[in-house]
Amino acid sequence: MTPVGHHPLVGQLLRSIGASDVEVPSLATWRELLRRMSQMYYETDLDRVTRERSVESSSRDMQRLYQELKQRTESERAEQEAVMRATLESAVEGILVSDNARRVIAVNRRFAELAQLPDSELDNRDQRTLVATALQFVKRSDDVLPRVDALHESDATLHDELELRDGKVIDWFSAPVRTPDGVKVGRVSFFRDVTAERQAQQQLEMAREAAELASQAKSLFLANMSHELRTPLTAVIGLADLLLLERDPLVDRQRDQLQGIAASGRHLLTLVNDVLDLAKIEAGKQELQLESIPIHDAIEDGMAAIVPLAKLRGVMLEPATLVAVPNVRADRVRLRQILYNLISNAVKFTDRGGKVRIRARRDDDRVLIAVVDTGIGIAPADVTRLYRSFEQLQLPSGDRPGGTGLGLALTKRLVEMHGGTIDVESELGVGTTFTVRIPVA
Amino acid sequence: MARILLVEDDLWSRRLVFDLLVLRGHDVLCAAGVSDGRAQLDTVKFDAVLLDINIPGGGGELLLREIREYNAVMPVIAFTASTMTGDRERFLAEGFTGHISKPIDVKSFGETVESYLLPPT
Repeated sequence: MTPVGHHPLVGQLLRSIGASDVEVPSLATWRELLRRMSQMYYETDLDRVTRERSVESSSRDMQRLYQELKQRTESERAEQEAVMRATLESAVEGILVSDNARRVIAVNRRFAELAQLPDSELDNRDQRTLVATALQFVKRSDDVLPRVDALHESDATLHDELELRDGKVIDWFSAPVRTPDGVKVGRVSFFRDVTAERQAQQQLEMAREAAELASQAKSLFLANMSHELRTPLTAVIGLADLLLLERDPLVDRQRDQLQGIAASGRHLLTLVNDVLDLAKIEAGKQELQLESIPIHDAIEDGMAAIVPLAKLRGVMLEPATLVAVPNVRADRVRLRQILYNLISNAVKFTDRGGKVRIRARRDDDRVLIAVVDTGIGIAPADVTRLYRSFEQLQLPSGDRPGGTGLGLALTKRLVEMHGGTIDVESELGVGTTFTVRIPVA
Repeated sequence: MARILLVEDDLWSRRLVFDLLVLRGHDVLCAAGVSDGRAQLDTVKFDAVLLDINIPGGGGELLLREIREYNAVMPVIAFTASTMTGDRERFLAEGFTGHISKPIDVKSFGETVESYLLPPT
């Protein structure tokens, strides 16, 4: 407080115009003081307005900036959403994505289409009621909703098929949705209409079954036919043989003719038997009685029946040397048939003075049996035809060799039924080696 | 010499077996099917039966079962063209005394049949 009682600011003002702040100011001083104060008020006013204006304008800028940013973000987001939606809608699969609270995050029209729901259902944000609505078109749907519930509690993936009431088949794949750091945030299901695929598969299956049935029917027919053919053959061969045994003398010509009947009858019988065997194998009706068999016994068995033919043709038969070979696991009758076929073939295709040798040895977990002849050999081009039915190699004379043309086809199948293999090596004019490998007992 | 019933539906097979057995001195009666065979068995006492399986009137197995109801020991031999693996075992399990498969070996047939006959008492 100044002595006169001025406010310090007034005192300061008085001093600034050269007046005393302790004396009572003159009228001129008052005027000057008033003018100064007025001016100061004006200046202050001006300043405030300027400041106010400045604040006002910067806040407008800020607002514009904010609006701009907001718009840009929104359009970007809209764009992203549009892309996402387009992606969802262009999928072949019906897609349903939900979060952990089972709110629907995304769903596409294809889903509604597959589930046969109106598009309005796509606005249903509750996954559980949406699924429940969709399930009314699913066959045997009772356990599906509980399964969906359980699935949402778990981290499991699921791959299954749903059959709709109208016969459609829907492939359903469901997997958890995870953030990059592995946190489960929801679940996604893909639904695909596989009706056409399933139908094609079914038709293929049916065609395959029909073909199999037809093949079995054919084989069964052949088996029955062969059986029926054997009955009259029994009489043909038996009666001819009986006549040959009769005590009444026959003239040589009659004896020859009777032998012709009996031999042709036997040939026909072999043919019928081979057809029957092949048919049985192809119909899956041939069963093996597997037992442990000493290989030398089997070779001897197979050879015994060929000795007369070998003698007749002047071919030397040389049995396997009796070295220790493990027993094989085989069907006695069929193993004999395999060896008989191979040895008789060798004899048939070997010229007078030639030799047929049989060798046997262990080969790892199998027994190797080789039938080696010094016969006419097989041309490389003919090797591929060897195991075909009714394909017979010609003898150089042009004659058909005896037999049926089924022997090797049958032999190969029989060997394979034993879990074995058959191989051939041959050189024209030098000879042929057939090698059979049968598992050790 | 034995009295043998031959049940076989194929005429010429029947003739063959008939001739073979008669040549060896046996007394052979023939039937072509189950009912025919049953009638013969009802009126004549046989020492053995040679029984085809695939015969009209129910098959050889039916006739065998009927025979086994009143005679457990009479030789009944299955005589078939069937060669399925395991057939022989099946026939024996069903009660047949033996099995001869067709076609027969003319030279050994008679002896094979005779080997099944019971020794005379």
